[in-house]
Amino acid sequence: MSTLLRWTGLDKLISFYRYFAFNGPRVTTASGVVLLLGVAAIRLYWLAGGFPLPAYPAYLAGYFALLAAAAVLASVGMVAGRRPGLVWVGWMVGSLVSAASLAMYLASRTGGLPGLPQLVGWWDYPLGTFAMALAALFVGVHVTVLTGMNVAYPHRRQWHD
Amino acid sequence: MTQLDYPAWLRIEHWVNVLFVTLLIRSGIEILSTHPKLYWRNDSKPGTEWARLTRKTMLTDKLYDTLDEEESYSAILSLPGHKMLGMGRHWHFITVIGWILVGIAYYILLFATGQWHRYIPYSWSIFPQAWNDTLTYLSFKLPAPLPGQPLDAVQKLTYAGVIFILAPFLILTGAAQSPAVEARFPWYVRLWGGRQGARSLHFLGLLAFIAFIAVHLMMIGLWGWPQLTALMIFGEARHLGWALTASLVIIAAIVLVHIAATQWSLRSPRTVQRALGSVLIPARRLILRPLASAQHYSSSQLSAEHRVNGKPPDSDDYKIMAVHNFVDWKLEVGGLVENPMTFTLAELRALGEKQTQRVLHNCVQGWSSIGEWSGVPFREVVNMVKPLPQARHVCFLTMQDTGRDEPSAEGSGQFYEIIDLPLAYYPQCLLAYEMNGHPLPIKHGAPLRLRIENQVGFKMAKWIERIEFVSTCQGIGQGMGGWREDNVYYDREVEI
Amino acid sequence: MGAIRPELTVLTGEQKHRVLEQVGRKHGSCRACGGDTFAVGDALYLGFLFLSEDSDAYMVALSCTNPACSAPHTGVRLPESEFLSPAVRT
Repeated sequence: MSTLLRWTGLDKLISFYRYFAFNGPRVTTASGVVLLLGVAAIRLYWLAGGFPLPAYPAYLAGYFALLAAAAVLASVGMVAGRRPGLVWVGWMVGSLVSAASLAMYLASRTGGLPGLPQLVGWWDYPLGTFAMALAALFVGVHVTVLTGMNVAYPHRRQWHD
Repeated sequence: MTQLDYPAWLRIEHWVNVLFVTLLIRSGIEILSTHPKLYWRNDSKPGTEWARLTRKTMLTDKLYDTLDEEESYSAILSLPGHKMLGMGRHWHFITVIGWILVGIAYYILLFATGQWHRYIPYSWSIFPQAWNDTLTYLSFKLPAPLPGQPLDAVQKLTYAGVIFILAPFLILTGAAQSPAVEARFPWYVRLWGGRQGARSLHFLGLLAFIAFIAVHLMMIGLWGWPQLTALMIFGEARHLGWALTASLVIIAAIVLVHIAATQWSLRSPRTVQRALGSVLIPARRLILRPLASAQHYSSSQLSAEHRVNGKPPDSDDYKIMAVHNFVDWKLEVGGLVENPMTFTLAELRALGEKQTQRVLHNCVQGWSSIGEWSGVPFREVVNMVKPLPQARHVCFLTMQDTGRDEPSAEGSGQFYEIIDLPLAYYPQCLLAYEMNGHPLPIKHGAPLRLRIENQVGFKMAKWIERIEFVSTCQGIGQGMGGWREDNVYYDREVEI
Repeated sequence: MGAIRPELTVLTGEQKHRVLEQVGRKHGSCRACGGDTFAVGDALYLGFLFLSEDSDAYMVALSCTNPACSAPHTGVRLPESEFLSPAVRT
C-alpha cells in the first residue's frame, strides 16, 4: 500500500497536512463546542415543535432527544480540562454524534426512514442543510485535532524553536 | 440608472486582475516560506507562533538562525519556489505596483461610469434580501439577481467586501510591513497590532482571498460557466461555445505566464533581478526612501530575545579577539575619502556623544523584534573621513565568511553590504557597539554592526571590519550591491 | 573599555591555574614571539555560538607576558573538563 502511495505520488498529497500546525487550543475547543451545541440545538428545536412535518414517528423524537443529550454531554467532556481522558472521549462522542446526525439526515433524504417517506428527495430545507454543515465542520475540526494540525484544550504546544 | 452591463474596461480589468492576484498569491507564499511561522507579537519569540507552516524543528543546543528555518516550498504553490525569497520579493512587489494601478483605474472607472451601482448597496433592504438569498442557497437553489442588476444580494455584498474592503486591507497590511513606513510612522504599524499583527492579518487576508476565489469559481460553475464567461469576454451572453473556449484559452495564457515567470526565475534569476529591479529600485527611491526613522519605543517594549539571521565568524582570529573583549579589533575607514582613518573600539566609544535608539527590527524574512541600540551616529564618522565628491555608496565589509559560517545560505565568500551614501546621514543610521545597554553580543554582530532603521535587517552588516566609500557597486562581488543581492538575488533597495 | 561582554566567563584563581597547567602540558607558546609564559584572562564558551566547535569547547584568553611581544593577545581552546568545574558552566 505504502509503495503504491509513493509510486503514485499520493503520499506527498496525503502528508501535506503535516505542513500545517496551529496553536489555538481554546479557539479549537470553543469552535468544536459551538458546532456541537448547534447540532444539539437544532434537534431540540425540532423536538420542541419546529420539525417541518406536523407528525412524525416516536422513534424519531427519541433519536432527537438522544442525539441532543449526547452532543451536550460530549461538549461538557470536551471542556473538562482536568481530565484529559474525558476530553478525548468528549471529542470522540462529538464526532460519533455528528457522523450519526449526518448519516440519519442523508438516509432520510435518500433511502428514506421508516414512516417518513415524504422526506425522500426533500433537500429544499435550509435548516437541514445548516445542520449538516455544522456536523461536517465538527468532524473536520476533530480530524485536525487527531492529525495534530490543531491542539484542543487543555493540551498546549510545546514549541521551543 | 446606468445599465449595469459589462463594458470593455471592466472585462479587461477582470482578467488582468486574475493574473495579478494569482501572481501575488504565489509570490506571497514564497515570501511566507522563508519564515513559515506567524505571530501576534512584535518579538516573534520562538514558540509563541499561532501557526507554523513547516515541518522543520531546530536543535537548540547550537545557535540556529532563521536561514536554517527557511522552508523550500513547491513551485506549484509558490513563485518561484525552492527557497528563492529574492525572486519571490521581486515578483510580489512588481505585481503589487501593477495591481494598485489597475485598482485605482478600476475605482475611477466604476465611479465615473456609474458602474459602482453593481457593487455598492444603497438600501438597507439588501440585508434581509441577502438573508433570503442565503436560505435559498442552503436549499440548494440559486436566488434571482436583484432587479436590473447582474448580481444577487449576497453576491453584491461579497463583491463590495472584496473590492472595497479586502483588497485595500491587503495593501494596507502589506504597507505596514515596510520598515520605512514603520520607521517613519510607528503609529501606523501599531494600528494593526504591530509588525507581526500586520503580517498575520495579511496572511488571513490571503486566506480570505483564496476562499473568495474558490467560491467565485464554484458559483460560476453553478450559474453557468459559458454564459458568465461570455459576459466577461464578449460583454453579452452570446457565442457560448466560443466563450467557453476563449475562457479556457485565457486561463491557459495566465497559467503560461506563471510557468514562464517561474522558469525564468529559476533558470536566470540575475536577469529577473535586473529587469524587475529597474522598475522597483526607482519606485522605492521615490516613494519610500524619503521616510526617515522617527522611532522611540519605550524600554518596556524591548524584546527579551532576538532571533538572528546569519551566524558569527567561525575563525580562531575572531574568537581570540572576542575573548579579549575586542581590544585588538580595528575599524578601517577608507576608499574615496580625503582622510582615511582607523578606529579601535575604545576610540569609537569616545567619539562624540553616544546615541541610543529603541527601534523595531525587520528581518527580510518577516520576523521582527524591538531592540535598543547604542553607538556612534555614522554621519559623525563620515564627516571625519570626508568622502570625495565621486563617492556615491558605502561598502561595509565584515568578518563573516558565508561559505564557512552559513551552510543554510547559497553562495560563499566574505559578507559585505553596500548602502547609498545619503542613507549615512539619516538620523538613526548608527554604528552600534551596544545592544540593550550591554556590549553588542557576538551573535548580533560584535564588536560593531550597522543600524539603518528604514531598511530590512540584512543591510545592517554585522561583525564589521572595514568601511569603504566607493563610486559604484561595479567590481564589488557580482556588482549587485551586496552579498545577498549577488548570491541570493535579493532586491537592493529594501525599504520594504 | 566598556563593560564585560555577556558571553565571557570570569575565571577564579584556581581555574586560571588549571588553564596554565594545560598550556604547559600542551607546550603552548605565543604565536608572535614564541614566549611560553602567559597571564590568563576570561573564557568564552564556543560550543553554542560557533558552528565548528564541540559542545564543551571554550576559548580562554591568554596574554603573553613578554614585554617585547608585538601581539601579546592570544588564546587556548580547552574543553570544559580541563579547567572549569561542570557546575560553573552557564
